[in-house]
Amino acid sequence: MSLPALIFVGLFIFYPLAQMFYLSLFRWNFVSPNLVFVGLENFRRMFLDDPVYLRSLLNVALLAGQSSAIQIPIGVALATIILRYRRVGRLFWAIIFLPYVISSVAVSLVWTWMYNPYFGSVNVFLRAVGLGFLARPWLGDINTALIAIFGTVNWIYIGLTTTMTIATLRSIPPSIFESARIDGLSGFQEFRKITLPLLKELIVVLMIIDISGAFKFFDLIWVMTQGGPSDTTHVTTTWLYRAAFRSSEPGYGAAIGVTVFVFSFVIVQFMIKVVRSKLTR
Amino acid sequence: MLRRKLRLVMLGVVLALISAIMIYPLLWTVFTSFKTNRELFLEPWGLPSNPTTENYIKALERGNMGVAMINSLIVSLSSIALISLIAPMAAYATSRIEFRLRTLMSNLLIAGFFIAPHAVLVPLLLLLRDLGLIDTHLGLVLSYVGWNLPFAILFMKAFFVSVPQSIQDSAKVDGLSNYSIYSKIMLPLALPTILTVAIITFIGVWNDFLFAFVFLRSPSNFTVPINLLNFTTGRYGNDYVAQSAAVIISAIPTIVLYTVFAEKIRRGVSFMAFGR
Repeated sequence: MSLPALIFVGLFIFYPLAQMFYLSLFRWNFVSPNLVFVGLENFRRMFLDDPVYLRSLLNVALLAGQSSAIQIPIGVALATIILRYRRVGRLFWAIIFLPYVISSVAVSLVWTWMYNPYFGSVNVFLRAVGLGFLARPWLGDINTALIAIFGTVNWIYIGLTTTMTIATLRSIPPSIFESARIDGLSGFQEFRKITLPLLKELIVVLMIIDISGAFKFFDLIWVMTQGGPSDTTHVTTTWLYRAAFRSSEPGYGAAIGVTVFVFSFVIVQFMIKVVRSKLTR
Repeated sequence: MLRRKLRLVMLGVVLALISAIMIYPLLWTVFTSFKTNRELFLEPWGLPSNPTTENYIKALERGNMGVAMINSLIVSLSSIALISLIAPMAAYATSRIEFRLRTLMSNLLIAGFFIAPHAVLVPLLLLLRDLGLIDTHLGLVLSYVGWNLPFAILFMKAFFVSVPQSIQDSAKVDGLSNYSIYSKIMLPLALPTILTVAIITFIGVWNDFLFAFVFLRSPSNFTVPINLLNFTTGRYGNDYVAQSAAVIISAIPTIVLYTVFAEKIRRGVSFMAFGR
């Protein structure tokens, strides 16, 4: 009964995965009948001769880091508020989760317009409040492009972080909160004494999601900047796409794929096995 | 008492501010979709002075959004149909039937959940080329099924594990085969869970950009997200008001699903954190 699923998974996940490792050892251009075996040359080039690749790794790290640092505290705060004030909370929850169900391409276009130098609301707002000197082409400026993208990322995913936190908090039996209230704990004490320890594991899980998510990041950057200006906003997946399909170097693209697979897999396994088990022990 | 009230007011202000930031860009796009391009540049903040539906007609016809919506509907519905058929079977077998190498089978089926599909874009494209499925809806659907099965199976397994063993035992005593137990007893019980999986998968496939972007070539085959991008970079690259209309059209189906099934969607999405 699991055979149909195995066929799909085998053909579309494991077979390409194996071929990715094989292709990463070759130089090729998609059309030529002969693949040139180059050993580990693609990997040497990546780490020693490809500054954009290294920059893309840095961007992935920044993306994961800022997502964890900004979304987790805000998400936890919002989740506690939503659960405490249930009636207003329901509506608020519905609103902040909304961006997550809209396609990333649509959302990226909307934010490209928000950042537009002429009619974009960000600049219009800055000029309206007398901060016109700060107005700039946010996505075209080498100093602000990445920050502008991060802003959009947080706008999309804050609802998801909050929702996952709410699911965790709901798994705590309400009697614990009741007895805390009887003992006279204030809202903040209640949060620190009961909620936070129970949230520790969730925080690790959210960090795992942020890290693996950063390695799966593609749409937003491709739509908003295509990796520009001057290749400063590439993440590994956009650089993989450029190398494989725009520069027609599928071998090099496959080699970047190997690193995406290895990095995300190794880091995530490390988080699950080491960090999480330390916390739960 | 006063301090308590003041705190509540402050909290209200903060929540209202966050709501405004969350909803504003979407609302702005709705307003813009009813403006003219001239109005957009002169009055980027104003309400449309003379609301026009012309942008929507333009997006649907010249912007190819009508065709793309139908394509996306075909691709999404086919994908969820196949997944709803295959995933519950595999989840049931790997959680409730004893057989050799069951753990291995279960791990193999779920492993894909931890792998970024982006990593294998090149070999996946070559596979579709060998199968003659480049630029076809079939190739796209099969890829979506393959890559969405791991989550679907993981989610369904959590349900089957929770079904009491006694139900299965008494069915065995009545002489039912594994397959009849599945189709007559387990499947009807699993329907609400299958619906959740189907909705989550539908939203994922409807919104997917990556596979469509790499595998599709002709605009007549485009799904919604890639068609959106094509509309904004092509001949109508400066027609922002028509693009706004296209964005609104593209988001309607998933927003409708979200308003109807909010609870199911949130539960399914939260599961991604606890499934591991």
